[in-house]
Amino acid sequence: MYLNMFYYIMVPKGGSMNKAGLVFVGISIIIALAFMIPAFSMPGGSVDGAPGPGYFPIIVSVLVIIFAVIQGIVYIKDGTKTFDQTETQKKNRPTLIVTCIGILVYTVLFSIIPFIPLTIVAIVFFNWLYGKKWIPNIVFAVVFTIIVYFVFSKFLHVML
Amino acid sequence: MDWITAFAGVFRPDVFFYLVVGVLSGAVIGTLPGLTATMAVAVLTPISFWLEPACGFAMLIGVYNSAIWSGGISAILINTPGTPASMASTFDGYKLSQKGYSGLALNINTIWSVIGGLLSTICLATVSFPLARFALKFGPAEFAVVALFGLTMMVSVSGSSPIKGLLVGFLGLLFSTIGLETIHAFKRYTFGQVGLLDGLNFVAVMIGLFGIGEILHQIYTSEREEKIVQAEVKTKGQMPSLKLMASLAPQNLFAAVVSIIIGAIPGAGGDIASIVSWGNAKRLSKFPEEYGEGSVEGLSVTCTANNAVIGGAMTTMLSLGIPGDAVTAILIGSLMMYGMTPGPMLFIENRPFVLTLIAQMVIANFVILIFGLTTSKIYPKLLSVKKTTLWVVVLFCCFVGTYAINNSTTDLIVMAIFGIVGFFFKMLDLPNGPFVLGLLLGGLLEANLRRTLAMTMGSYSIFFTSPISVTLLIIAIASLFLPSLIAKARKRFATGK
Repeated sequence: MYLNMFYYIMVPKGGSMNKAGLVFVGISIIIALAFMIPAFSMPGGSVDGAPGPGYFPIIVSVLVIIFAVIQGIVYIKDGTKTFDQTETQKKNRPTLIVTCIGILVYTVLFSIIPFIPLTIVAIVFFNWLYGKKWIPNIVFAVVFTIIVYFVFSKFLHVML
Repeated sequence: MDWITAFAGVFRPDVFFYLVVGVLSGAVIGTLPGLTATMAVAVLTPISFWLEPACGFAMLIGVYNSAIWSGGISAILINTPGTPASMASTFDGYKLSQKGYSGLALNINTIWSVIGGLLSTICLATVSFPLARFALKFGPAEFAVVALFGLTMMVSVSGSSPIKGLLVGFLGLLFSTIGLETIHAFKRYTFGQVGLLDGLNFVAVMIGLFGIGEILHQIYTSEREEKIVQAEVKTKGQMPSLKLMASLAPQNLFAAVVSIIIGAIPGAGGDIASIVSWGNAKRLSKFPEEYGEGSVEGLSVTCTANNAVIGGAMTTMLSLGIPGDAVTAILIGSLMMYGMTPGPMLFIENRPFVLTLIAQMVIANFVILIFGLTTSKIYPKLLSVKKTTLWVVVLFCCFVGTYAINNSTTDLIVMAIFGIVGFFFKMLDLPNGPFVLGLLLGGLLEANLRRTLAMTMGSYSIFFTSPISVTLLIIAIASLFLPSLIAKARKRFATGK
C-alpha cells in the first residue's frame, strides 16, 4: 500500500496529467500558506514607512495562491488527456524511484560514511541498476571515485 | 592600457590552463545530446569557487562558449542537437553530412560560431560600459523596476503556458525570502538551520533543477540499451574556401546583429535566435530552395546566431544584473559567490575584472577555433559513449560539485530535493526558467522596493514620477507582450521551413 502511494506521488500515471497537475496546484497553495501564516507574526514596518520583513512574503504568497487557483481551474476545464505513459516509461518507473531513493540515501550518508567507500558502493549500485556488467562496473567505480577524490580533495582542497 | 593588461592576464599560465580546461569540458558536454550548456556551467560552477576569480571565470567562460558551439556537432553528425541552441543547425547540417560533407559542415560550424562569438564580444565591450554608466543613475526605485522588468520575463521563458510560468516564478520569489532579510536582518523560514541563514544556495538549486532533474528525466524516458548513432567524418579537402566565406559574410553579419539583440532580451536564447536567423536568411537568400536540403548558407547563419547570443546575454547580465538566459543566471550566482554583484557598480568597483572577462571571451573563441578545426575525427567516438555511463558521471559530479561550494550537507539536501522537483517540473511541463528568475531576482526586488518605500515614507508615487522608472515600467509592460510576438515569429518561420 505504501509503495503504491509512493508510486502515485512519484510519477504522474498515464492519462492523469490533470490530476498530477492539481496535486501540484494544491502543494503550491500549501507552500504559500506555510510562508504567509508565519509572515503575519513577523515584526511590523518602521515609522519611516519601510514595510516589515513579512510584507514581501505575504504579497508573493497571495500571488502564488491566485495563480495556483487560476491554474487549477485551467486543469479542471482542460479535461483532455495530455500525458500518456509510454511502455518505456512504465518499464523505467522502478529504476527512477530507486534512483531517487538512492540519491536521498547517498545525501544523508555523505556526512556519516567516508567519501571513497560510500561513493564506490553508490556507483556500483547505480551502474548495476542501469544494467552495467559487474567487472567494468567495479573498475569504473573505483577509478572514477579515485579520480574525483584526488581532483577535489588534493587539487581543489575540498574536505571530502 | 587596461585592455592590454586584461589580455595579458588571460595568458597567465594558470588562467589560460583553466580556459582551455573549460573549452575542452564544454566541447565534451555540449557534443553529447541531453547534456546542455546550462548543465555544464551549473556542474562546473562549484569547482570554479575554489579558484581565484580570473581562473574560475576563465573556466566558466570557456565552458559556456564551447558548449554552445559544440552543440552543433551532434546536430550535424547525428541530427540531434547537443544543446537546444543548436536545434536549427540540424536543418542543413545533417543534410550536408548525409551528402558526404560532414567535415565541411563541422568546419563551417566552428568558424561561424567563433565569428558570431567574437562579434557579440565586440558588442559586449562597446555597449556594456555606456549601459552601466547610464545605470549608475539608478536609485532603489529604478533597481526595483529593473528587477520587476527581469521578472516580467517569467512570461517569456514560460513556454506554452504563461500562467504556469507565473505560478512557478512566484514560487521562486517566495523561496528567495528564506534566510536573513536585508533591511532588519530578521531570520525568515530558516527552521533553526544555520545553513539556511544565507538563503537557499542558488547554485545547489540550479544543479538540482538542471543537472539531477535532467538525469532523472532521461532515466525515466530513455531506452537504456539505446546507443547513440555512430557517425563518420570525412575531413580531406573539406575546409571552406575564403571565397565561400566571403560570400556568406553579409547574411551572417545580419544574423549576428539580430542574435545579439535577442540575447540581450532576458528569456530569449540561442534556440530562438538561430531559428529566427535561419528564417530571415532564407527569406533574403538568392537560393531559398536549398534551405533545409543542405544549404551551407543556412547552416552558417544558425551557427553564427547561437554563439552571438552569448555577448548579448552577458551585456545585460554584467551591466544591469539581469540574466539573459539560464547560463548567465548561474554566472550571476558565481559572481555573487566571489563577492561581486553584477550591475553598474561592478564596472566601477571591479573594472579590471570586467575587462578580463571580456578578454577571456575573445581568447576562448580563438581556442575553440583551433580546437574545433583540428579535432573533427574524435567526435564520432565521443558520441558512442553510453547514456548510462553519462548518468552516473553527471550524478556524482553534481553531488561532489554541490558539496564543494561550502562543504555543506545542507546544500546537498537542497540539491537532491530540487533535483526531484526539477524532474516533476519536466514531467508536468512546468518551466524551470521562471523559478530561477524568481529566486535570483527576489532579493533585488524586495530590498530595493523596501528601501524605496523607506525613502518615500511609504509612498509608491516615485515609481510613476521618476522618468527612468516610468520608462523602465513601460518597457516591462511592453515586454509582457513579447512572448506572443516571439511565438508568432516562431510559427511563421516554422511554416516557412
